[in-house]
Amino acid sequence: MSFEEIYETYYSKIYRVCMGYMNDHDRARDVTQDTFITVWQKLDQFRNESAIGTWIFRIASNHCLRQLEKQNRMPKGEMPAELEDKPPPDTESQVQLLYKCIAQLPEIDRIVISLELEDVKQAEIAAITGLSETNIRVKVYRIKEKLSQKFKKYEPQY
Amino acid sequence: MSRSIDFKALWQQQPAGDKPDINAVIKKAMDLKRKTRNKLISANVVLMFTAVFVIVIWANLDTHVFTTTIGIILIVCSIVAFVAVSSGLHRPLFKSHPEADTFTYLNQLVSIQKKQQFIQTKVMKLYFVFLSLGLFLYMMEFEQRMSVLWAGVTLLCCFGWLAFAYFYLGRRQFKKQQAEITGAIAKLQAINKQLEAFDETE
Repeated sequence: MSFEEIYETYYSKIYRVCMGYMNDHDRARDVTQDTFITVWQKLDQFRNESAIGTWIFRIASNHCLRQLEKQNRMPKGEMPAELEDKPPPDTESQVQLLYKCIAQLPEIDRIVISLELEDVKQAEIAAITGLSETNIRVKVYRIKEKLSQKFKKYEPQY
Repeated sequence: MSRSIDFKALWQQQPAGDKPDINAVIKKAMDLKRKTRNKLISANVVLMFTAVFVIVIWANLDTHVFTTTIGIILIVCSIVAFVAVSSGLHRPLFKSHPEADTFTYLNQLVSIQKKQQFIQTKVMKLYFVFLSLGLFLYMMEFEQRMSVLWAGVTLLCCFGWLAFAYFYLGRRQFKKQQAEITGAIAKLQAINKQLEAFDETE
């Protein structure tokens, strides 16, 4: 697969994973770009030991984790102020709510659920994070429970 | 409360915005590679030039006292050792593997941060000790030829500058970097615990 094909196929996917991790458009864009810079630099070293998708998602999630060293993120466990008011139940605000809720999860959970929602197979998520497939299955289930609860809290129609 | 939420459908609706031009990404990648390499090379080149300069002076000097020779050897050795050790320890920084799995990558980052901490504490301190010692031995012969006043002035200037560089410039940067590195290690280890804790509970 050429770099151009990779860029076309994976740009939106990687952007969404970064958005899930950071919930900040500009930072997600920057990290997506950093990811593709690394992909470009390392593409000749890719040995087909894993699927190309797994390889790219690994680079993306590691770049997301490196953001920690660069800036302080929102304090854990606190809902952003604007979420205290219940938003109207239109789709756009639901999308925003989902990304906001994900961005409040612990770092590893954010990566796991972002990849799951991006339709990455659980075996691949295991290969990306270094956890076992069983762990991923349980983790995904728990995170979805957590997200549903948050949604029910802010979106009474669910 | 009955209907389950289709998170996947919501997730996919997040607009990704316009893709930046692919050529801009490639150009940025190339610039970054060049800049990183140049930065590392330039720092080492300056130090190596200093070492060569000292050797040239030594070759052209008419020295009769062994302390001068020992001083020069110490200065050159401390510069060469500093360049060798710090480049050796910095190498993994540019060879980190962002394509490794998260667990491995986090451990790599922690070990890189610890190495940086090691350079800034132990290696830097040893470098300054040997450099000052070498400089002192080197200057002894010339100090003896000077009047007491001039000997005092040159010693004060030389070691005053070294002390300023170490205690003021070095310390100030050191404190800032130490705080960043310690913070980064703590955060990385906290994420690593998320992975480990989950492994233990399952």
